[in-house]
Amino acid sequence: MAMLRTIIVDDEPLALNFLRAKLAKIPEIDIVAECKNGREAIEATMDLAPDLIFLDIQMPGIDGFGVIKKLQSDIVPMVVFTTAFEQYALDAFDVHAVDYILKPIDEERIQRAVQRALERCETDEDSLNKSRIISAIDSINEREDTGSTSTQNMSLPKTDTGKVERKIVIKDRDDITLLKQADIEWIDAAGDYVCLHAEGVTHIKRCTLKNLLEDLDPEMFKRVHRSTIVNLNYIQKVIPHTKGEYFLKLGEYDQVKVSRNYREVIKDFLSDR
Amino acid sequence: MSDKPLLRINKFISQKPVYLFWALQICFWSFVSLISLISLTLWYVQIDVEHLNHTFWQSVVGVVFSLPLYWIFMRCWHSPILTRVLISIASVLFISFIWTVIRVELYIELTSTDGLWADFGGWYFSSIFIYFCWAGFFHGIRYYQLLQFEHKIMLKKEAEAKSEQLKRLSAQSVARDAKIKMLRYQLNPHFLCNTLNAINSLIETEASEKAQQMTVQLSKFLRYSLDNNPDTKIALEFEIKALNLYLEIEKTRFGDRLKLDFQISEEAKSALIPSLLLQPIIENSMKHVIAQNEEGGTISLWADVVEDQLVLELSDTGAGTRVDRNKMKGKTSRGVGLRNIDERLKVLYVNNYEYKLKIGASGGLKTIIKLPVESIDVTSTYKQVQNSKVVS
Repeated sequence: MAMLRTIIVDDEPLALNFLRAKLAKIPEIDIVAECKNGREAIEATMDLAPDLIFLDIQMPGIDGFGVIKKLQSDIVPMVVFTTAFEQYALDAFDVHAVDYILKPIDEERIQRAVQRALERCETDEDSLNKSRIISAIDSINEREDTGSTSTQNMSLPKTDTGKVERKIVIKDRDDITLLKQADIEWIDAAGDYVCLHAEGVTHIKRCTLKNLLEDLDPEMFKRVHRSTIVNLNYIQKVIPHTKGEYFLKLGEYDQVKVSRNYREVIKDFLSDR
Repeated sequence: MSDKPLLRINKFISQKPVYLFWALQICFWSFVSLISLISLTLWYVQIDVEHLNHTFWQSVVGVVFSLPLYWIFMRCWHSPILTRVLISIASVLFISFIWTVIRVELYIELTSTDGLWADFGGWYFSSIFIYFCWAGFFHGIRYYQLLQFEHKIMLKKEAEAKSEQLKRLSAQSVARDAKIKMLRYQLNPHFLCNTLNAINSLIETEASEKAQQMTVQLSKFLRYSLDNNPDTKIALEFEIKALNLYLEIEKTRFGDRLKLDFQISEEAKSALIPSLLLQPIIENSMKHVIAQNEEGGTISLWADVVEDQLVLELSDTGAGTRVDRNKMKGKTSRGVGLRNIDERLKVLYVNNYEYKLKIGASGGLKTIIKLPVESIDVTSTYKQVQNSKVVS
């Protein structure tokens, strides 16, 4: 029998109790951690690499969406959101096949969510998890901002002169941000989207990692996982992990996992300095 | 029975001005004939067909000659007053002269009397008075009618203006009610769903007493918030009881993340405030401080009566230091929900209130409300009793 290593996250103790009690009755579920906020959820996911996470959307500090944005797409587990009343979000989830449970939570919905997770566990690729959620978040943002155009069709400015610093154009709802490459800490791809993490904020951009790579400075950015790119300038700490894997501590809060296939990059980086 | 035909005549005459004119003509000239009959025919004992005939016919001729006089009066009605007086006098003198000539001639013809022309002056004298009387009546009645007419128009206008004003007032009050209803607190569906989830959890973990307590608190709070008389004012004491219902529920949900610090003076407790005025402010603090902070925060309420004003100060400890830029953006939206309170106070107190928002260094929000002190009066006692039933 396949066991799902599961993390449950909710800022309300009673809601957490309820989830724990209900999930305990399901034999396929093995609760490995309980978290009270987004920060704890990110840490637990990095450490424990669970298969499934029950994630509340409304939370202090980093909310449920923020947790997913900040997690490297390679390690995002299957996600079931729990929420009280976000009609627009629910529609988006439906479209992008993100599972969710409405509060007040009923047992049937939990069982259905677990069932789906088990099925997905056998068939789907892991890397789809984040891209599903990111496209749902993108369509929620579009819904909230009906007036302006979406993030699609945004092309990068072609500055071949070399003197001008290359910037990445981000269209977030109604304002356009020009992100300096030097400010970007790390990037991960999620399907048709890339998440650019800079100065504690995660920007979502609709483009493929391959296209983005062409514009990035190859001296600065290195691939450390199948779909994760890191700005070497921001590496503060390299923490060895099991099985030849590493954790990179970037900036103040962010941590990125380096997979075995890419450990040479880190070795080079360490020997260069 | 007897005044029924009279009423009918009256009704008939008042249908058209012409009918009234002719009715008055008949009355006037009949009266002239009557006076003539009494003062001349009977006095001189000349009771025969000829003299009676003359009395009758002279009136008929008089009626005929009053018509040109009517025409002249109407023609010069809008002329300057002096012209009118002169024309009127001249025409009265002229018409009565002709009438007198015909009267005398008629008398001579009917009674075959001679030497009457010597008395013409006497005849003319009385004629002048009769026509002046006629002219006097004519003007008097006409002016009276005009006055009546104007009065009627004025009354009608006044009635119209009154009903217009009534309509406007009722429209205004409807609009005001709608506005105030819209501005009034409405239960947050998030809160309801999350509370039910928490109750569900308490039942699951067999904390049935706590679950019951929470259910009762929720239903009391619901009842209080659904009572949607927009003008209800309530003693601060009861408003705080209602707030506590809500806050107890939130305490159960959030545990020790929610801390409270309430200081209400005895004097302030009995002062009236619009019901559920503070609820949106507290909910705002819950949403932006307690729910946003891993360690939670404190919501404080201070209330006292200062210089005949009820002063309410609500503050929270803010979202703390761990605020990233996205959260700061949300900070501005915090004002949107609170603007409704200002609007509501404006409707209820016009300019006789104060409403201030201050954002502190740690991002905490302080709301200061100053209202005129009102205490419980007779009309609201019933409401008070009801509300106190709900919340106590």
